[in-house]
Amino acid sequence: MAKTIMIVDDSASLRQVVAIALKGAGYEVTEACDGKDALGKLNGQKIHLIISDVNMPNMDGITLVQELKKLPSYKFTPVIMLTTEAGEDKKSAGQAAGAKAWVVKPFKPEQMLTAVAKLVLP
Amino acid sequence: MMSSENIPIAPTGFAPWGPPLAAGSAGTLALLAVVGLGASALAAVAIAACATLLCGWWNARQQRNASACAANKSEAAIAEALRTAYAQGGIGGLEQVFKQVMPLWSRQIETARSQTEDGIVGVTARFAAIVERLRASVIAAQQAAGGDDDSNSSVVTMLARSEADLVAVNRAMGLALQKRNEMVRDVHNLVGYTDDLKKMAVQVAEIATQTNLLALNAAIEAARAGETGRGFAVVADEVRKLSNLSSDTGKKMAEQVGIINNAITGVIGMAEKFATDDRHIIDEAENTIRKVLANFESVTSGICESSTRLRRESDGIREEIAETLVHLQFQDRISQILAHVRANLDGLHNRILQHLKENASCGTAAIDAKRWIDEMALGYSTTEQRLIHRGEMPASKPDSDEITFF
Repeated sequence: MAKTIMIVDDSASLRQVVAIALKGAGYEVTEACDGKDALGKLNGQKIHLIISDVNMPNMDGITLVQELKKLPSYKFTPVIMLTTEAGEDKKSAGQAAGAKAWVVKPFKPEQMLTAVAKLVLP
Repeated sequence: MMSSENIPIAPTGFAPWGPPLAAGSAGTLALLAVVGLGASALAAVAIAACATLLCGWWNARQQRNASACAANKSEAAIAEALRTAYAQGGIGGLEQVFKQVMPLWSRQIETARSQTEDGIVGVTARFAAIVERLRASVIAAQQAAGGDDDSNSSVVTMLARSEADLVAVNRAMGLALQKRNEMVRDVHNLVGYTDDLKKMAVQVAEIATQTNLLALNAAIEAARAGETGRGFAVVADEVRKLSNLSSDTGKKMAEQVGIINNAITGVIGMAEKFATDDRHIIDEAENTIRKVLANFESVTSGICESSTRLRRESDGIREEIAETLVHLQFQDRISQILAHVRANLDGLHNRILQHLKENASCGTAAIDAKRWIDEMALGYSTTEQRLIHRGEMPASKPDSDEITFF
């Protein structure tokens, strides 16, 4: 049974780029365009990992992680932040919110897949 | 960083609005040229760069006005003189130009940004479809050629199974031939028994002859005995008849045994001929099977070779794909940079509108250039934006190996 990963990013092209890398490695992919959209699309389905951008309209990635921590079904779902932000203050905010890793765009697919394999839920 | 204290009063070229902005604009253009934007996007960025320069000029001008108002009367007089000079120089209507042009710049930047994004989304979608089809083709080729060890339908597996099946059929035919040869040998042994039967039939005939002779002698002796031997003569006659019957039976037995013997010999001859023919057929079948399997093997080895080559090419393409995926992500960075420029342009436009509405010369709150620039910097989301802001040249390609695990 393939594991499902949710990609949250307001850039459609970036979502597709991540999806190509993940599908090539055998993962199922579901997409959302911002934090609010992501919360609306959870619908109780099993999500093994979330890859989220930080700067997004409606709800940013840090807030999304904070909101996930309030949901019993998703509080342990690991989140990888995928962002152009490389500043330590933003990283610290992501870590404080409960993100598991911080990947700076542009990412190399094999590195992303290594991080995903390391963090994805069994 | 620029401040109100070190802004020169005289408008000498670009100097008053600071080298960071000029460098920033040039840096933005250089960065986007490096990452390969289209002409429309470059035009948009050029507009953005011009806008940045003009914004700087506007800030500087407002700063100059603010400084003049905050200072003594002589400074106010200088400011007034400058304002008059600008009016006389034909740039007094610049506010109106900004008011009308800045929204156009903003929309054009947004159009260029969204068109670039739509284009990249389309390219990426096509690219995803190509990748998926390539992956499916490679998997199908590998399965067909036996690349997947678990596959029961692979050519290699089918070849091995066919060879085993055909060899088993040939072996079964050989075993059948061997059994028939054993049966022929058993039949051949019957010939020995029929020879014995033939001898026994001859013996029966001889006994019958002797019995006949004995009966004849008995009849002679009975005749010689006269009336008293008449009964014995009848017995002797019956014995003679029986001996004749025994003789006939012996002869018939000999004849029947001869017929059986001939039949067995005929059957053995035919069976031996069939065995020889079957041996040839089995040998020919074996040779044919070997030839077919050899041909099949040469074809499958070609398929396997093609599959291996395809897999090798696929690995190469996968590496190319990985590299392309990295490059495709630049659109996201460019989009963020352009969106930030547009947002800043919109903010400045609103500020100008506010200024025009108040329509006050000295009473208008001047834009604090430093504060404006600092607030603009807070909106940066990429390293290159911050580097450009500091007047440094960003790398042609941002590093892509930064992963931090918490």
